Amino acid sequence: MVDGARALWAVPTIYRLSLEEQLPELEAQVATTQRAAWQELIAARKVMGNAARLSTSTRDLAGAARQEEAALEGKIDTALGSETRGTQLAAGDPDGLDGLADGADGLASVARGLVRGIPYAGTAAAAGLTIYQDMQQGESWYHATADGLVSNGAALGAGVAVTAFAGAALGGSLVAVGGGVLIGGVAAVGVGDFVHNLFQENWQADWHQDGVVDGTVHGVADGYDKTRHDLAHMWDDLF
Amino acid sequence: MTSSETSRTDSGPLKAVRFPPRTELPPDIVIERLPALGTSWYERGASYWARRIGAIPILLIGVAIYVAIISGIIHAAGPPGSPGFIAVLTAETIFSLGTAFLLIRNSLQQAASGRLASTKSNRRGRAGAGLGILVYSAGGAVGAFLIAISALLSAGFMLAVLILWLLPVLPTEQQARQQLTETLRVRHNTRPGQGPAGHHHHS
Repeated sequence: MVDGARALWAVPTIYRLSLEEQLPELEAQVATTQRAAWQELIAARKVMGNAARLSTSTRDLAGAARQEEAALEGKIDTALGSETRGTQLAAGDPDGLDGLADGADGLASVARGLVRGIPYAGTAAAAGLTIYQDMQQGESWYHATADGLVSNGAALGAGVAVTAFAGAALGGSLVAVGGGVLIGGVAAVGVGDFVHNLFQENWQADWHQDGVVDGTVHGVADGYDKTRHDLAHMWDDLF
Repeated sequence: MTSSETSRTDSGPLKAVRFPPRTELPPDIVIERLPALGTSWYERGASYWARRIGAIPILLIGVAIYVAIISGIIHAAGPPGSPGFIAVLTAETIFSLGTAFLLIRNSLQQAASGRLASTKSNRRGRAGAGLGILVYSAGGAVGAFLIAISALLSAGFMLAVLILWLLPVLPTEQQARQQLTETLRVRHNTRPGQGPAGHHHHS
């Protein structure tokens, strides 16, 4: 939950950072098209003198590259306007953290590491809580440990993976970045709970009653049904 | 293939362009690193298809999770067949499909326009990002709330990602391929016979 809130709060800064990642590439593009234009013009002047002109396609490409760069810089400026120190801190952005750690050398990098480590710290804490709760309910330590580590690891992996897939499919717009972060969070919660429910499933009874194949299908369906109820309860609690 | 043929083909529907081997690329040409795909889109080899195929079960699980969440919301509105149940079911369906449609359309439009397209295409790209600008201009808190509602209470985002993922070429990949093609074409036009554009062919 802490990581989800952090991610949601950090969306404006995450968006700006994703825009800035595209800038070097566009700058290189501008440099390439400008260099090509100059080379073409120099070659043409050797033949035609001052009457030499750039071809339409080269001029259009160079102009379009400059326009793209200017548009991206404009977006970054607009994005910066909606940021606050809070969003920068939530995203682990050096600008916000350097200000926080003003006058304390090295503290900014430590703070940045701590913020970016929230997902891992949250996963470790959740795994510890799962193990503790399962052992309190009488489960063996190895079953509880396996459940805690695998279900929370799967949650972290699913969250990271879905966020990356969303970025690859939807691109780097504000909506795509914000939505990608959120559906990654939903996937993390859902997958974590689903894997936990699979651990809690009585597989021996399922296989004994329905056979290996049908019993496995029944167990997975039962785990999904429990996940559905858990998410419905969570929704009731939240709203 | 001539450079004009390359351009015409790239501005059409999503198609995969095969590039020369990395070792033949000029040193200043950078292959864009895409989320989840890295630079594997350049060759579209085993690593690329392993990532593409491996993502599908995860995204299907993601859709199943949204179905679970939405069914919980719908059942909370009333018993099956009740007016509340039907109203929420209809609203969720329209909202999810509408969000997915808008996201897919915007992504495809942006991919078709490309970063180095003409001014007209740029305007189309900006119109495609209209939803983002609308949310953005609504202000930080309200904008974040709109994104949160769309992403948490409808399956539209996850559906859009899944559907786009099933396309032969992802929109962001198409954009990267188009940009690289344009870069190589510019170099080829500048120094005839030296650029790698002559190696291009469409699969």
